[in-house]
Amino acid sequence: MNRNLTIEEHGAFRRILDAIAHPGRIQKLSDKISDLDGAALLFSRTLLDPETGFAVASSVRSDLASQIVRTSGCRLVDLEKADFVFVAKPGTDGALDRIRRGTPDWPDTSATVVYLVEALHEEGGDRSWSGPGIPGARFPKAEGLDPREWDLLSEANSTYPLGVDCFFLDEHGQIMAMPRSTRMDGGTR
Amino acid sequence: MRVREWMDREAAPRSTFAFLDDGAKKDVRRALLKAVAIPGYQVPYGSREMPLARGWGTGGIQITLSLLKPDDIVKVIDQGCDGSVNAVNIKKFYERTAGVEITTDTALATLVQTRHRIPEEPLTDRQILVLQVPYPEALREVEPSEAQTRRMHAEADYARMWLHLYEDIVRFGEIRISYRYPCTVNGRHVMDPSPIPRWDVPKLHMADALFLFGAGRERRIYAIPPHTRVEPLEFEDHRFRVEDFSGKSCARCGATDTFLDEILMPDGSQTHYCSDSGHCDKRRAGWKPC
Repeated sequence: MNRNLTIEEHGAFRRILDAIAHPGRIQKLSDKISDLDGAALLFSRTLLDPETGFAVASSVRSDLASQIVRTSGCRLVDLEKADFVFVAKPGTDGALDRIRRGTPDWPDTSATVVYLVEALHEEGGDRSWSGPGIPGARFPKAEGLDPREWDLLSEANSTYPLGVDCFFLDEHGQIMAMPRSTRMDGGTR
Repeated sequence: MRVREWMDREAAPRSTFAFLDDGAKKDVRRALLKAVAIPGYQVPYGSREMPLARGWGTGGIQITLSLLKPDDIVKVIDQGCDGSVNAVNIKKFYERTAGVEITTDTALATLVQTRHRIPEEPLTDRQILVLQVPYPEALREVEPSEAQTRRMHAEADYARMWLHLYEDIVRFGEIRISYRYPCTVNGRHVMDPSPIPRWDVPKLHMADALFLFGAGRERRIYAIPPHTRVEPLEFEDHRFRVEDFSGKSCARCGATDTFLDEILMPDGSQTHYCSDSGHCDKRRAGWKPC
C-alpha cells in the first residue's frame, strides 16, 4: 500500500483517538481535508476493513456510501448487524433503537455511530456533557442534527457499559466524539 | 551482506510504515476506541505475530505501532530505565520502521511506552502513555476461569476481590499486593493497572494524559482516558498507602520524592537510586551534593 496514504491514516487515527479521549473537543481530522466527504472517507479508510460490517441509516448519499465500501473494503450489512453506522443529517429518526449496543459480557460488540452534520461548535449547546475525558463540563453543539437525536442517544446509553459510541464529522472536515461514558444533562427532556 | 546491512538497505525501505499490516492496525485501533469508551474494560483483539516473543512487550508494541506518526518523539522505558536492553531494542525498532525521533526526556516525548513504571514527571494532555501488560485480568488472583471473571465484570460483582483484600488484612495486618494493585475505574470496572508499584497508582487518577494498556499474550487492550476517576480498592478503616521512602534519598541525584530502587553494595550496605533514570539524569545535572 502507498506509504503516504498509510501515514495519513496514522495521523487521522491520532485525532480520532484524541477526540474520543476528550469528548466534546473539536479538531480537524486532517490538515489537508476541509469537506465532509473527504473526512468521511479518511475516517473509514483509517478504521474499516473487510472484517467490519458497515450500514447507513437515513439519507446518506448512495455514492458516498459506495465510495466508503470501495475505499475501505468493508462489508455492507443490515443495520442490526453493523459495527459502523453512518448517519446523515438530521439524524436516525428512531432507527438508533435497532443499532447494536453490545451484551453484558461483551459490551464492546456494540456499533459505532458516525453522524455527518453541518458544523460542530465547542460552545453553545444546551446540554452539559460530563464524564471521563471532560474536566468539569462541556457544552458542544452539532448544527444540522435533530435535537431529538440527543434524547435517543441518552436512552441508548442509559444502561452503561452497554451503549453506542458516536463520532461527529462536519462540513469543515472537523471531528468530535461522544463515547457511551459521557453523561448528558439538560435539554428538552 | 550482513543481516543488519540488509535490513537497513533492502528490507526497511520496502516494509510498511510502522511494520504492521493495515488489517492488524485497524483491529488494534477499533479495540482502542472501544477501550477508551469503556474505561477499564478489557477489549479482545487479534494479537499478531511480532518479531519478538509474546510476553516481551508485544501488546504495548502493537498499540504504539498503530499510533506512530513520523513527527512523534518516542520514549521507551523498562522498569523506569531508558537504557535496558528491551527498551533500547524497542526504540530502535520504532526508529527503523517509522522514522520517529527517540528521547529519554519525558517532557519532550509525545508518546511514552513503558513496562512497570509511570514516569515521575507529570504527563500533559498532549501525551499518550502505552503500558505493557502481562496479566490484564485483575480478578485472576481470585478466579481462574475467564468465563467467570467476564461474568463478574458484567455484573460488577467484585465481592471476592474485596474478600481477598480483607483476608490479607486479617491474616497479615496489611494488604500484601505490592504491584498490580486493583483499582476501580470510572466507578464501574475493576482493573489491573499493570505491574506498576503502588507509588504510581495515584498518577492514573484524574490525569491529563491518556493511558493505553496492551496485553499481547492475553490479547486484551484497555484504557484510562484523561480526567477519569481511578480509585485503588481500600477500606474506610484501612486506606491504600504507597511505598514509604522516608529517610532515604537517591545516591545519584539526591531526590527524596521519587520511587527508589534498593541497591545492595559489595560491602553489604544498602544504597538507593531513582527508578526513573531519565528523571534522575535531568535532576543530577542540576544537583549540588554539598
